Parts: sequence; C-alpha cells; structure tokens
Amino acid sequence: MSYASYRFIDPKTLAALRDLELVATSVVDGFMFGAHPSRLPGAGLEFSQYRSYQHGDDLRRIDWKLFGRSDRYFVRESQIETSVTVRLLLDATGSMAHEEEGISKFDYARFLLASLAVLAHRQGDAVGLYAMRHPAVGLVPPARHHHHIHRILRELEVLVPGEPWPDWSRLQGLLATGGRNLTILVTDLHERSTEIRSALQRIAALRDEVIVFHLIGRAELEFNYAEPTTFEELETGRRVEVDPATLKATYLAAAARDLKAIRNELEERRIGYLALPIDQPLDAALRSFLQARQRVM
Amino acid sequence: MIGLLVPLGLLGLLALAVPIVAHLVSRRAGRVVKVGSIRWMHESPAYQSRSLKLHDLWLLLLRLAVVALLALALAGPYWRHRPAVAGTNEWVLIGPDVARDSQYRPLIDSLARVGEVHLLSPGLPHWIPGDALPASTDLPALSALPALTDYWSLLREAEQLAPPATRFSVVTSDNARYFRGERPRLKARVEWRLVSGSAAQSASIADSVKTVELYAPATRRDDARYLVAALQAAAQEAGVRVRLLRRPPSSASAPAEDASPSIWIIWLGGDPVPDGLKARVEAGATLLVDPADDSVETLESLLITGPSLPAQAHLFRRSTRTLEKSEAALWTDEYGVPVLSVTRTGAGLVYRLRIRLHPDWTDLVMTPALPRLIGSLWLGPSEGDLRVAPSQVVPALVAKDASPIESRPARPDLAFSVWLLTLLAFGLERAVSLDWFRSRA
Repeated sequence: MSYASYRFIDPKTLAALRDLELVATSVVDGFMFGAHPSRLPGAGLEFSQYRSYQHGDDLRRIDWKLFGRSDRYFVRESQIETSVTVRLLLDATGSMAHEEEGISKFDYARFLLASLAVLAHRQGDAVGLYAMRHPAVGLVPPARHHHHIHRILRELEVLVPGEPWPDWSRLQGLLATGGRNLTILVTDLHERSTEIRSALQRIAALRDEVIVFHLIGRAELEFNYAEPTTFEELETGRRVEVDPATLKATYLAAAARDLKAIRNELEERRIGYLALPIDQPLDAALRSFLQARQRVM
Repeated sequence: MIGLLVPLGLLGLLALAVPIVAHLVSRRAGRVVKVGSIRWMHESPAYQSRSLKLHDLWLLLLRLAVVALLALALAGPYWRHRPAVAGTNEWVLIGPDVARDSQYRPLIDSLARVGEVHLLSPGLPHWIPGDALPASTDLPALSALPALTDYWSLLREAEQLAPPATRFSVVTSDNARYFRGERPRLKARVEWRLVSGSAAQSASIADSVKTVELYAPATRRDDARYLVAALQAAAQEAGVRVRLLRRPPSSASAPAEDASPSIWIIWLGGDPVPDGLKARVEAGATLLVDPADDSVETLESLLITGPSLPAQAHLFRRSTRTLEKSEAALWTDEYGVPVLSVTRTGAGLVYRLRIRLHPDWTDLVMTPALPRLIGSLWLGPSEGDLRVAPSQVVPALVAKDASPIESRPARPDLAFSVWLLTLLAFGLERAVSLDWFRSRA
C-alpha cells in the first residue's frame, strides 16, 4: 500500500529501512533481546533446527525421540513467533516546538515515528500511538489489522505540542497492560522536574523494552548564537537575557554534564538511547541504529 | 566663520530626534529566540547591559552625527569672508512733523544715541533733540510743507551731503503726500520707520479764526465769488471761522491790518504782484495768485490733483506760463503740465494757478471738490489721506558700489567636504551596526 500521501512519510527513509527489522521477529529460546529469558517454554514453540548436544546444554532440551531413532543426543532449537506490541510514545509537551532552520523537533519526531510505525507494521506487529501530553494520552490503541497503520499516520498529522507531561497515574492505566511490549519514546528530555525520567523508569520496571530517541537541536547543542538575545522557554514562557559569547563556556559545560548524566541513568536501567540532532538526515541515523540493534539480536 | 546659503536646511536638525527615539525604543526589544529549555542558561545582567549600552551609545552618536552632517550639507555651507568695515557713519533723519510731536521724543532720543540727527527738510539741518526747531519748519508754512517736501528727493540730497558709507535711519509720517516721483536708488543703506497719524498734522489748525485778504478786480468778480464760497465751505467743514477782508487791488500797498503770520492773501486778476504783498509774503504770509489772460491755450484735459485728493474736473483753458525752477507742481493736467505750483519765498509760500477758477476755464468750480482742495491748501491736510507702507517707501539699494558686508559665493564651497564627511559617517555607522568589525576580529 502506498504511504506517500501522508505528510510524515519520507519515501527515502522508508526505502532505506526496507530490509531492516525493528523488532526481532524470531527469538531463539534462551535468548531474547534485552535481558529477559523466554517465558514460554514448550507450547507455542516452533521447531527450528537440531544441533548436536554440547557439554553444558540443558538436559531438558534434548529431543528424546531423535535419540531413540539415532542413538545420539541432539538439542532441539525452537523459535517462537514473537508478538510484540510496539508502543510509540511521542513527547508532545511545549518544548518539542523548538524549531531550528525551519524544522521543529516535533515534526522530526513525527517523521521518525511514522517510519517506525510502518516498519513495525510491516513486520506484523501491533502498533499503538500515544501522545505524551496532559490529559489526553492514548491516541491509537495497539492493533494489528492492515488499515490500522493509516489511522496512526493520520493521527500523527493532526497532533500539536503544547501541554505538560501527563501524570503517571494516567500513563500507568494505558501502559501497564502486560504482554511483551517495545516502548519507544521520542522526546527532547526537557522536563520541569524529573517527570520524564521517572516515567521511563517505571515503564522499564514493567519489563518492557524501552528505547529513547533523544532529539537535540544543533544550536541547542553548540550554542553558537552571536549577539545578545533574549531566550524564551516554550513551555513556561520564562525569559532570560543572555550574552551568548560570555555564556557559551558555562552553557556547554552544563549541557554536557546533563547529557552525560541522562545517558548514564538510562544505560543503568537498560533503556536504549539514541541522540538524534535534528539537522541530521533521518534515514541514515535510523538505519545505523537498527543495524546495530540487529547485530546485537 | 561658516555661513549658510540656505539656513532653513538646518530644520533638518529636527530629525536628530529620530535616532534618539529609535535608540530608546529598540533597547527594550532585542531578538527573542524560543527554545525548549533555558535550564543551561543563566542571566548575566551586569556585563550584558553594560556592553549593550556602550556599544549602542557609540552607534547612537554616530547616527546623530550622520543626521547632523546631512542637515549641514543641505544648508549649503560656505566660508564667510567679512572684510573689515571702517567705522560706519549713521545719520538719523527725522521728518519735521514727527520732530515736533512730543509723543515720539523717546524714539528720537534713542535714535539720537545711534547717530547724528538731521531734520528731513531742505538743507538737512543738523538738529539736537530738545532744541527748538529751525525757523523754516515753523508753523506758518507747515501746512504747505508737504507740498514742497518730497522725502525721496530729500533723501537723495542727504546721500550727497553725508560722508560715504553712511547708513540712514529715517523716521517720518506715513502720509502718501510726502512721497512723490520716482523711488530713489541709493548706494547707502536706509532703514525707514513710519509713524502714523502724527498729531502735528492737525496742529496746523492752531487758530480757530483765519483771516483771508482777497484782492479782486472787477474782471474777476465771478472768480472771486466761487473762491469765497469754497473758502467758506472749507472753513465750515473744518470748524474754523473765517474772516474775509475784501479790498480793492489798489490798496495792496497799504500796510496790513492783521499781521498774523497765518494770513492768506489772494491776488486775482493776473497783474504783477505789488511789492507790499511780496514783502508780507517774505514775512510769512501765503499768497494765492491767479493767471493773466494772455497766453492762454484751449485744451480738453482732466485735472490731476494728486492721490490724496482726487477730483474729477475738466480743464478747458490754461495759461501757458511754464514752471520756474523754484516752483513745485501741485496740480497737473493729465499730460503732466502743471496747473498749480507752489514756491517758497522767504518765510512764506506763493501758490500760482495756471487756470482761473471760472466755468469757462474749468468745471472744478462746479464740483464739491473745490472747497476740499482749497481747504487742504489753506487749512492743512484733512483726514483720510493715503498712507504708505514701509515697503513702498524704502529706497532701492544699488548693489554695485554698495557697502560690502560680505561676498557670498555662487556655490557653497564647503558642500563637497561636508557631503564627503556625511558619507564617511554613514559608512562607519553601517559597518558598526552590522558588526563588520567584530566579525572580522
């Protein structure tokens, strides 16, 4: 089907991601991406291959029928069709309206999520879309049917950022559904206190796999403004008059410190992290990320 | 010294307000950038505002300089060479009727401090305010003074008499009768001050009883009748009593009954005036003489009696006797040929008519203008004379040989340098405001 008519579909990006998988479609038992062992031994497993018994393998995995026929020990390897629900979380707070060189973080995020949604859908996974803004959060509950993806793409088009981050009580109701989920959050990680990080922490505690795509502006990262300017925070409206030339050093130090701290924290909780400067082409960044994931998987 | 060809160009200095207002207004604005978070920024107010003010102050001064230089360039600057002028003389010329009037004493006194005071009467006598006026300006001939007094010709005379490079300050009455002929072109600079309604004019009617002696032969009986009627009408209008003495011509030599100086003597008939009357005229009387019947020409013409007393009258006959040097024409016909002339003889005046006051000669005698004309001659100027404005009387200044005050060049020679400075200042302002220097450094 054609997605070209949707605003946030970039054919180039889709083409670049054509052969990649977002979610591993097959899981060899004993190994699942992330740290969780397979919870479904036995039923539901599909035969994959036999290999000879090696010292140290689990005795329970020996196929006794084959032993009966061949008098040699073989270990059965199975795979299971994973059914993973991919939940796409879009940070729709006011700070996402940050714009540089004509492209806002919010639009970039929508491009990113559109591509991920198509990818996941192509793999046959259920995809859901959630907008992280108070109060309405759940936009498109996860589903698998083929025109579901269109609904997601349509909803992406009409979203606008602006509200503050929703309460965990509301989020919990939506996200604590059990089952195997891959939760992807696209955000700029600008928070009033620690709402985003604590939400991530809680989602990770749900035993979901979590990936955070962190969007950063180039000017935000390098702070190369020339003349004295007044900066206005999008979410709160607070203003500060700054002489960038004198402030640059302290700014960069503070920014580096914070980014490192976030990276460490996420890594500690085994949350996947990718920093995406919004001036970088999306397809290249995403492709390299997914390739790296596949190698791990 | 810098002079300006177009001083109004300095009105452009009003535009100096524009950069100042723009500076004050724009300081508040400043570029506002919306960002996702300001948590890594902190305000640096002290340093920031100080550098902003300093930087902007130079820019503001530069912009003010651009505007000021532009205004100066538009005003056409040039170097002014003022030659050293030797001490200029100043003469103050005062009309006699103004000099007599006490209400102008303060003015005259203040002018007297500036230069030497002369009376604007024939001979330009030197006068010190406070002294009595010279005899020639005394009352008897005052009423006739306007006739002989033409301020413009007197001013020409003054220019001849005064040392070169003299400036004149003139104070006179603004009655139009004092200005006759062509406006003079003088080399000297004149400042003319006109005063109106001098009380001195009405002072001429000092006595309420005026005596007129009339000598008329039998041939002039009709003339005499018209004349007497006119005199009486004029006297009635002016509120003056007239005492008419009719005497036969033969008794002209007899001594006068009345020796008052304001006496009018009318000699009709055309015969030569007897010496006795002449002597009295020399003493201060006024004489009106009629023409003889010889050398008469017939004509059809209008009578012109001057702008102050217009009269619609026709002339049919006129004596051809020409004007003598000492005579001034008062009335003329439309071709300029004199009809009534006046001359000063000693302390008195002699009016000579070239027409007889008879219907065969003119129809003036039938008009109400005759009493008015006779009255103005006899009793002095009446109300309602024409006034003049200063711009009408100030003599034209002859530019050549005029006392040089300054030489103005045709084109402002400083203009080029000022324009160059303006462009330089503008270029500098643009460079600074676009941070050309900073980005280079």
